[in-house]
Amino acid sequence: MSHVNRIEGIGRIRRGRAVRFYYDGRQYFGYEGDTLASALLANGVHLTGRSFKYHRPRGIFTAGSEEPNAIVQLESGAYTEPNTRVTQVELYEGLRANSQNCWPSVKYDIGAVNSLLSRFLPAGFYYKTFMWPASMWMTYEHFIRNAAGLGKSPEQKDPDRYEQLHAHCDVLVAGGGPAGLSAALAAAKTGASVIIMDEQSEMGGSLLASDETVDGVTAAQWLKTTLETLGTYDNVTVVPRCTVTGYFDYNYLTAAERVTDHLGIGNGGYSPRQRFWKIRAKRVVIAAGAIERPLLFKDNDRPGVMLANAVRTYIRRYCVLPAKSVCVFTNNDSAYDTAIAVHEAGGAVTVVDTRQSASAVSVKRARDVGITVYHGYAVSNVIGSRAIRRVEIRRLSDDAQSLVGDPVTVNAQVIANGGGWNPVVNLFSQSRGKLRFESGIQAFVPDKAVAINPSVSAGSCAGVYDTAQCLATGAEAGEIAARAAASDPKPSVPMPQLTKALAADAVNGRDFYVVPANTGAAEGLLQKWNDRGYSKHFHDLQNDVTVADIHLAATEGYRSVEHLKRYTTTGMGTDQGKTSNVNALSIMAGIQQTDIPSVGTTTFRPPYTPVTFGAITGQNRGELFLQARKTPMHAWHELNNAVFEDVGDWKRPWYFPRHGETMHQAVDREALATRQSVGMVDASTLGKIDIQGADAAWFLNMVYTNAWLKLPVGHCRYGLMLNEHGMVFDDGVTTRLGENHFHMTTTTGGAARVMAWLEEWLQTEWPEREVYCTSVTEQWAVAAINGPNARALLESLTDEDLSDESFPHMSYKSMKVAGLDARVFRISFTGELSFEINVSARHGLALWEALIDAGKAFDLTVYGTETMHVLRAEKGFIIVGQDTDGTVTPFDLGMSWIVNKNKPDFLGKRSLSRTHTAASGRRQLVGLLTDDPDTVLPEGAHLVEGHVRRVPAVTQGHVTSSYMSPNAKRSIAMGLVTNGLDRLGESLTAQLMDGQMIGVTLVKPDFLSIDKSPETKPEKGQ
Amino acid sequence: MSAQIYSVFTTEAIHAEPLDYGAVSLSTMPHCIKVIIRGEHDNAAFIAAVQEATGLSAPTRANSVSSNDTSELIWLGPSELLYRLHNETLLAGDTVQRLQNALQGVHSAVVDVSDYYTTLKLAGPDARRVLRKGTPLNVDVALADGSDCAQTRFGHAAILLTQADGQAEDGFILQVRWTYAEYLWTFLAEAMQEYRT
Repeated sequence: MSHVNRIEGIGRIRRGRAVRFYYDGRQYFGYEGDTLASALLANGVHLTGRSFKYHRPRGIFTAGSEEPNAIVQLESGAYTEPNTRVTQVELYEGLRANSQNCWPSVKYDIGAVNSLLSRFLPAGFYYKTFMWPASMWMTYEHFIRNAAGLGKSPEQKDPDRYEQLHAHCDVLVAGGGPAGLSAALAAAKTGASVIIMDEQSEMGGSLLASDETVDGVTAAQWLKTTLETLGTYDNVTVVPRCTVTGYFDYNYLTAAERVTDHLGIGNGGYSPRQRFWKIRAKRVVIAAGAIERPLLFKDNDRPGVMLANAVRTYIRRYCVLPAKSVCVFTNNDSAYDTAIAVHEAGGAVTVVDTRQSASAVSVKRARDVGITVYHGYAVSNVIGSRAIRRVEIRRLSDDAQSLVGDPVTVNAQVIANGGGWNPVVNLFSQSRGKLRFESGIQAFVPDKAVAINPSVSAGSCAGVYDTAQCLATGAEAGEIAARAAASDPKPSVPMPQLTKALAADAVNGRDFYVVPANTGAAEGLLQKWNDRGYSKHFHDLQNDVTVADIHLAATEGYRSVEHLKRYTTTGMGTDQGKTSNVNALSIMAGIQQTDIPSVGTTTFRPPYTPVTFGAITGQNRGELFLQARKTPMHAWHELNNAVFEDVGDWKRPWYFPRHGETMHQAVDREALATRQSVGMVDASTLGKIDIQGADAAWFLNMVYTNAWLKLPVGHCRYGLMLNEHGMVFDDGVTTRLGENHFHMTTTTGGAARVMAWLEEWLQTEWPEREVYCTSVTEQWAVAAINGPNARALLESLTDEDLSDESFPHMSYKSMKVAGLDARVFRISFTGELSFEINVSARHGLALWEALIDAGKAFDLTVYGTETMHVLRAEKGFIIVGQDTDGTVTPFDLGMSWIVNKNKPDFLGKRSLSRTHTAASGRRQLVGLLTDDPDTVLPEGAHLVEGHVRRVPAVTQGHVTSSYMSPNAKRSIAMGLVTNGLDRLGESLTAQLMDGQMIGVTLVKPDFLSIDKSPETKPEKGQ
Repeated sequence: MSAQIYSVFTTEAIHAEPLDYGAVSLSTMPHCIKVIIRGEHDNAAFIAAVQEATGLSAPTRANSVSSNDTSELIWLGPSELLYRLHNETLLAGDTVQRLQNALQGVHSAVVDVSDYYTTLKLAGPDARRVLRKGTPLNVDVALADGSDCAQTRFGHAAILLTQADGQAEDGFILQVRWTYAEYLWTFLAEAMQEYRT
């Protein structure tokens, strides 16, 4: 196996296991344990894509999740994933990745012409240029998306499985580096339940690329021992490949675990691809580490410019020396470790240090091994485009405001760029903790005094960079968190914090981040846009934002950090500015001649790194997206060709087409047959509530508008329920089964709402009343038979006397039907003679089949919800939620007969007399007949006066229900019309969207001229 | 008239072959009588009547169960108990009648919900972890004691969780509205996938 940049050593890779992969169609090999980034670098590939705006060549910049540049389109087809950070992709056999944002290829990219035009594409360019005319925006947007977009979304259905998992623990440790591991161990020793998560493939954080001695042993040995020790604790869960992505109130955190991504497509077995954790932690230890801050110089975006710690990580963890000659450019001591690592790996290394002098141990060590160090110098020029050929450096003036002297050429193909460290304060900030700017390390750290949720930050995310200190703060944080969780299980604040001072020394850096431009620029407009030669100092690599752009924003008045972010797009994108935000703030502070805290910082929002929609969705997809509730008779409906309709989460038969019938033909047949002989509908989905207690009748008298106290046992009554505003919100028939026992029915969709409404009144206003409500919706299966032959059909299945005298309309009998115990209600939703037969749910199908068998003698027709709607509309019966919309009173429905004005009180009563509710001009429900009996109005159509189309038109109301009625032999409709009840006989026009004007006449909503049954209103007259 | 009984299901509302992956298994439970008993728990007459009719002492501690070999009394709320009786010969109506007789004159309600709910059994060493995929409840705390029960959700389904034979090692009983049973089964089967071999 020959890898041009692979070096001797072990690192964390497994050399015995070669892995084949493809990048931009070309085959390469890496090793198990490699990331895609380390394998590409091992093969000498630095160039990984083109930038967002200027299409400049870009390469691998980091070795971690902060990567702004090297994002690729992973895999293809249904498995494709855009914007994947190569630094986090673990290599697997057959992996395929393609560079993004370039066409026709990464080397010869047509969009790169944007780079030549960059003078004309400054910050805010898109806003300014594509603003006018507004009508063209859709066209512009399409162009911009294509020209500038990042990766491509998959267009096929995601074939992978995902899951959510809820977890509870005493202590959650976010981050598995030295501080996190120490914290987990310390917490575990107290007996606390501990979950420790880390985004990398293995625990260890910085220790994975360290040659330090830790607690007297090598870093690798310490890590091995610590993980083994943690493994002995049953109360510890160690989760690698898992990013804690969000920290919310009351110590609720989310995390995304990449369970099988690293195994490759189709190799995950029965495990989900990713797992989304929802964690309730009594206490949290944040040990999220720190991200290196880059120095900014001209052409600092060239492939080969990398963070110093990334270079060190590739060498020590992956045994990859990214180039034979490396230039370390730094303002502090920590990057010297990188210089030593390069030297030990056999590379040539030159250190360019902006400080005039330095004396740390690592600096001396570098000098001792013969590394050349330039003090007081800075990188002034990078030669090369798709790769670095050489680097020019110049001396900094004493005030660091300019470059002086002649350039010195350094032979280097990689620049290891180290400008100090920024603690990862994202999680702390998400939890609404405030940040404090620590000038000693020129970075934001958690401000302990204003933590809102109980967490402790430890290690480098708290500004502690020394490994020994990371271990110490981690251990203390772990113990503090565990003890606090034990003494107070609620996630309450304040909680104890670390005793050790967090303010740091550590890197001993120079407060210097932007290399001055070489020369003044051209005059005039171009100078303004290029602002003193900073147009190639890229501070935000992903969004192609330069130092010049920040000058421009400041010039144009976008000085607030929030404006700065939106104007320049700095800090946006998939990396959310992990390597750019603080530099942007410091540049703006410099322009305004103030300090960083005065400029402020943007709010960190979840997720920490992008999370797939699949993981967030978890199991809630496909058939688990929404439960499908079915009635006991569902199997029969399916066998008999039912077309189903979704009613809430219920599957209800919509209609039953025979022999290729259309829906219209089927509904016509079902509706005619029901009125001519007998029809049957599955009414099992109706809400049902059992109400018992000495005050049950009193209670119904309060929740319904009509009178209930004197309803005889064995009789039924139709009722309307109003809300506090006097508006109709549910209806149904309730039956008195015994003196203190009622069976209430509600609308299918309103069952849960009504139950909650009843309980709310009983529990909060009338707790002294003796009433118990119990939901029994699914206890009962209901078959409703309607039509002139309904009685004969039922008689064939029971011995009970069903005559009008024995079993009058609006009454109830308990009887045997087909040998089954049944509650039969003589109530009607069609105006026909009707019986609703209730049996235990287990017997529903048996009852149904018995009725079907017996019904053959009567030409029984089964109908669905559509015919049910037609039949009720023919009689003018309302459907709450269709003919009402929460703004309709019983009077508006023409149902004043159902409001008992003599009752002292009922829910909604008072509101009925409010000025507005009692005023004229309200929308009222009327029947509508079209001039042309064959025209069916669209529901929702608005009615206007006159026959001439006018815009804007003054609406007189709208159509709520509309059908073709086979029994009335014409179209019928109902609608809410202003003062409609006083306008019967008047004509209006339905003004349709397509320009049609349809004349209608307002009528009473009773569309059957010949009334075959006295049961025209469900209950009127009782 | 016809007295013929057609296809009555005699066990539970859904028909599914048991799943057994070793670490976790899922099965339907035989049909049982289920009765909601409403009454104030601080009413001594109510408690006494329930005890007389069921032979069980009513659980007064929130979220707890009293049980014997064939029946359970489950605390659902400060005025609500669920009585579950495993007896293939008794009819639900007879049980309701027996309770109503005992509670005569006491403010109460007795409602047959035998067909409203159905029960599934989730068992095995990893049953708790499977539960955690659908329920936000801290099952380890809520069901720490064998006599604990909990009302929570699993996915979109409201469930009542009890422990089989009063011991978590024997598995969990999930009671759910039968119209949600298919959804619950499908979700549990999906959550158990990773234990397949």
